[in-house]
Amino acid sequence: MNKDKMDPLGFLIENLVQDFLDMTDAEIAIEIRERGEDPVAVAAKARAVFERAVTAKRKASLLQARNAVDTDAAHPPTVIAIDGATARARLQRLLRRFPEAATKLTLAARNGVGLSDSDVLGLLTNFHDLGIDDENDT
Amino acid sequence: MLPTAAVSETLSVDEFVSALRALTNEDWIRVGEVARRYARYCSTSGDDLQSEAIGRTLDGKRNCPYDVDPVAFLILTMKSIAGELRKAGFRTIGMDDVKLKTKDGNSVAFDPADERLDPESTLAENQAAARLRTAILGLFNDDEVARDLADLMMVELDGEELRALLDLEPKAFASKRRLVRRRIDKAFPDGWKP
Repeated sequence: MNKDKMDPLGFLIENLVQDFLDMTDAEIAIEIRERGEDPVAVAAKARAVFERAVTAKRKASLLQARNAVDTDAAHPPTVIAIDGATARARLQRLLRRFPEAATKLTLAARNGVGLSDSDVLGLLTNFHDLGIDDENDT
Repeated sequence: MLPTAAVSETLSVDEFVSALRALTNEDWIRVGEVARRYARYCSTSGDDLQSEAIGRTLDGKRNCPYDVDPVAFLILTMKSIAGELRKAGFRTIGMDDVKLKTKDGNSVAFDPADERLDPESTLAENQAAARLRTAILGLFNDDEVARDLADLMMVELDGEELRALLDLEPKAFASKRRLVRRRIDKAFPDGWKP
């Protein structure tokens, strides 16, 4: 409760709760019956609140995951469909234009050695996603 | 010896859910009944308060320590949230969306550190507290000791301090406190309306 000297309701509630918690399970059940309720029903109600909270959390997580998938679907990955030789020539021209990018590749890779067609297309895709395309592209 | 990875000191969300699924009817009765009582403090329903406490734990905003009984953890969480909700109800009306302009012309949200009530709200709260006291004490005109106990229960004193002030033996104190609680529960089953 609020750590406020003028919080009589808070102090009262705390005392009432403490007295309730000091009762045995049997005493609590008797009190519940005395007010006309069924202890089993009281328990079931509290348990149902818990299950609803778990279900709500699960639904929220699924919705979040679905939104993430929808976002990815709305922005499909770039696909560059050209043959290997054309791709390698294009990459070489880009690496000559952007020597700083070339320094990130191994010497062999800079010369197109050791790179598969898939690797070359991947690098071209990276350039494309950065907004950089070969000037000779048609 | 190689250092081992630190063991988490709190239950994971799945572990927490499993722990709650293992609670007995008696445990759920305690959770529900305490929720109902704390809800009176912040003018919400017991179901909503209980749901909020569980929800915040499922969201990871609260974490149940391994060595704490889940029922005790839920009760403490509900108590904390009830206090929060009540404090939020004290905030000055209309100030939530105020924006301040900084010297370089940028807008920042108004976020006062001072949470004291404004004078009008303080007066209203004091009047509500006085009405509460009158209503509660009026339930015990037939029992002077119970009336004194009810009065002292509205002050920041713990059980032992109350017992000592009233000079009651433990069993007599427990019996008198039970009488006070039951009479208040019966008179105000849905809390206080100021």
